[in-house]
Amino acid sequence: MISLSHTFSQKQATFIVIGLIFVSFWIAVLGEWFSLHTPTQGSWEIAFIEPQDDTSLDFCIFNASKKNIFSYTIIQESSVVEKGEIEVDFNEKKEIFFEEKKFFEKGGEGIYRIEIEDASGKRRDIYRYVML
Amino acid sequence: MLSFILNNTIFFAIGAVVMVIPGVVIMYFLDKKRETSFLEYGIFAIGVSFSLALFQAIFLDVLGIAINILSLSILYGIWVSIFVFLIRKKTFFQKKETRSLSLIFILIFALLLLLKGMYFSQNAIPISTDLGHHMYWSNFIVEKGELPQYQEKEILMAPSDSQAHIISQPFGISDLIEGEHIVFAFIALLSQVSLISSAPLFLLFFIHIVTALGVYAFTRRIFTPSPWREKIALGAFVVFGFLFGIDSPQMRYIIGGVVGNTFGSFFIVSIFLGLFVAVVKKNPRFMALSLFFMLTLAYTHHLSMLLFGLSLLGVGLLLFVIEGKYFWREILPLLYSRYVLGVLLFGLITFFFLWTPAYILNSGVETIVADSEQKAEHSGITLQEYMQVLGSERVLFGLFGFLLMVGILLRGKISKMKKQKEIEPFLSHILLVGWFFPLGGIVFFPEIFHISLPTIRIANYTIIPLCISASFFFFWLVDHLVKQSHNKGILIGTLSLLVIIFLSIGWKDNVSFFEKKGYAQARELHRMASYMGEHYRESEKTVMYDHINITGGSWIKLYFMRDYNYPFYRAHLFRYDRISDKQERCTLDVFTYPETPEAEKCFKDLGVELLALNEVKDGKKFRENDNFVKVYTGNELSLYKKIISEE
Repeated sequence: MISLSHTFSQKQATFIVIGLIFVSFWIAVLGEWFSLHTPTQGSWEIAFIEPQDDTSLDFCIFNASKKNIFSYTIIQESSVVEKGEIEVDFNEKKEIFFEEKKFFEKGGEGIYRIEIEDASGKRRDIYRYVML
Repeated sequence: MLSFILNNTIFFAIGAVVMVIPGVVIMYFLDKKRETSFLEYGIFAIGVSFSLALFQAIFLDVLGIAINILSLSILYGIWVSIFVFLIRKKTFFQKKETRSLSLIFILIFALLLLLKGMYFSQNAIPISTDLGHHMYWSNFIVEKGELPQYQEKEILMAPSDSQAHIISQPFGISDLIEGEHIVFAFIALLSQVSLISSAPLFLLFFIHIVTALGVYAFTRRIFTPSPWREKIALGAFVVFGFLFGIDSPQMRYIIGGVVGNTFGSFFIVSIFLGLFVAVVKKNPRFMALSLFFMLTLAYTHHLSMLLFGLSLLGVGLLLFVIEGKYFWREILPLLYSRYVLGVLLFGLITFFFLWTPAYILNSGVETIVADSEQKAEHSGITLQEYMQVLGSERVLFGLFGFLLMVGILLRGKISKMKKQKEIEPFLSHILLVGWFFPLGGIVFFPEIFHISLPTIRIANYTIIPLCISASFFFFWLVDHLVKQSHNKGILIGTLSLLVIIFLSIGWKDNVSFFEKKGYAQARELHRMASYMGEHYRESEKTVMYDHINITGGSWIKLYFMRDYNYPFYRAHLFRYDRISDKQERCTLDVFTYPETPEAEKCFKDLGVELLALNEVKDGKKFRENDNFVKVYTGNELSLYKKIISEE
């Protein structure tokens, strides 16, 4: 039986030490991969596609939680000018474009708020002052 | 998945090419007689590779050659070709097979890797502030193809209300050095892996593992005359790498991106190891190698260099006191060699004429040695705090070990050494005591040394001699108990209890750090930062972020690459009260009091348009302020845009 004081040759030791480091690195890499590919509850973001363009309401959703159906509502002052739903997969970025004129005619200049709700009822909003 | 595996394979292969292969080639010629063990050889090879990356970058820059994938491919292509040529020779591995590592060592090493690897895989995320700062400069090299002049801009407050706040011209930063950034840039350039990833952390993790191996190899080497050498070395390996192996300054420093300390610790062990090998083997080549590593350390981390210098001074003085003749007889001849003088000449020319580090140009050392503003965390710590920082059992055993070594040296000086004229069995004690005591002095009595540095950081530098000393004391105790005990049952019981207490406390400390993963937080930060960079990198409008409530905010600057200090940020509040620290208040006012006239002036004068902040902590005051709109929001973070009024 091999004893704890058994020693390896230099060649064997080289391969064992390098091998152990290599294996531990790959374990860490796989751990990282699984973490990156595991959805996180409530991890999603919304943003205006063009933050510097105050005439546009186009927005995007990035979803890092499970595949989700997001409902969105565009509100100008207190009136709803647009509603819709969109399905976004895990780790997917989806862009939603509008033909602005459609609801600018309904609402005109002012604060436009885009409210988003995910399937679990979690809500977030972005808003901007639209100058025509 | 396949591309993920492929990218990582390329990254590891390139990492090996940069961090190992050039050093193996040089060591082949340097250590032709194979006077080093397999581990020592590997440790020196990694140190040499790191150093060569640094000096290659300096020479490329001085010669006006771009540091890019082409120039590096040619350089490393040459190194790999020589390596392949050498490895094909049958003499590469020693013909005469010598036994090297034991099975028990391999088992401890495997356990150490398992422990650290598990923690690493949970936390290897690019979110630490320090690493973000460092990666800005590595990314600078990647993007610009040249070494950086360490500079930053800052906000200058208007002297009167009628004048405008402005952004300054770039000015020098003294506490950053090339060595901390070059290897990251080289690996990123050659592997094409983004630095905004866990890749830099893998490199730090690798260096940390090699440092732990270095502690084992070093201990084994310095205790060569002792019959307990293998046991003391294994003990030091366990105490350093395994017990308290997650807490600072170990894995928590790796995950925290503490680059300078990690590299510094590696080089300090390598230098002492090289010096010891040079002295006992009477081989000036290793003296030259140590000098070369000292030069690298001077280009890598000035704090480590300063503390190493003090330790070396401590060792030298102790050697003089114990047996001064040994220095003249054995060490001085090693210094008068063409290898040492060659490295010295190379170092002097490079350091003073080719590429002088920023801390010399900007008087960074003077700031450390005589800082007029004494900070609370710079004023020394008590023994109790020290034990808390480094692990109580480790400190207790380590300190007893040092006392024991001092006792042995004193006894030896009075009797044994005079008779035998033989000092080498005591060199290990001289080295460890001389290494530790100057650092211990600064930790407990910094005012005597006039050094203004965070005491805890210096305390972390004592960990290596302390661990070796703890192991030495442990086995001395075991030896004495074995010799003096007549009842084997009581002896085995006492020893088992001692080992169990030691292991369980160290292990409990490790377990306490396995905490919640921060991947979601990191992903959110990087997505927001990417969005900011995509839309504002080239913008004339100014962007700011809140460093207080955004974890890892320093990474945002990598998406802009406009200046080390850009986007400007609200710093921790105490920094605005320090005389020598934050001298502007705009970054404070725009986040803390955005409705005030002072903040309004900052927005207007500096053209501030976008603010990145923590929605949960600071969102309310911006939501309720009509001058802001929200253009981006996530789980925690948001971007608010200032409405610029048309006047």
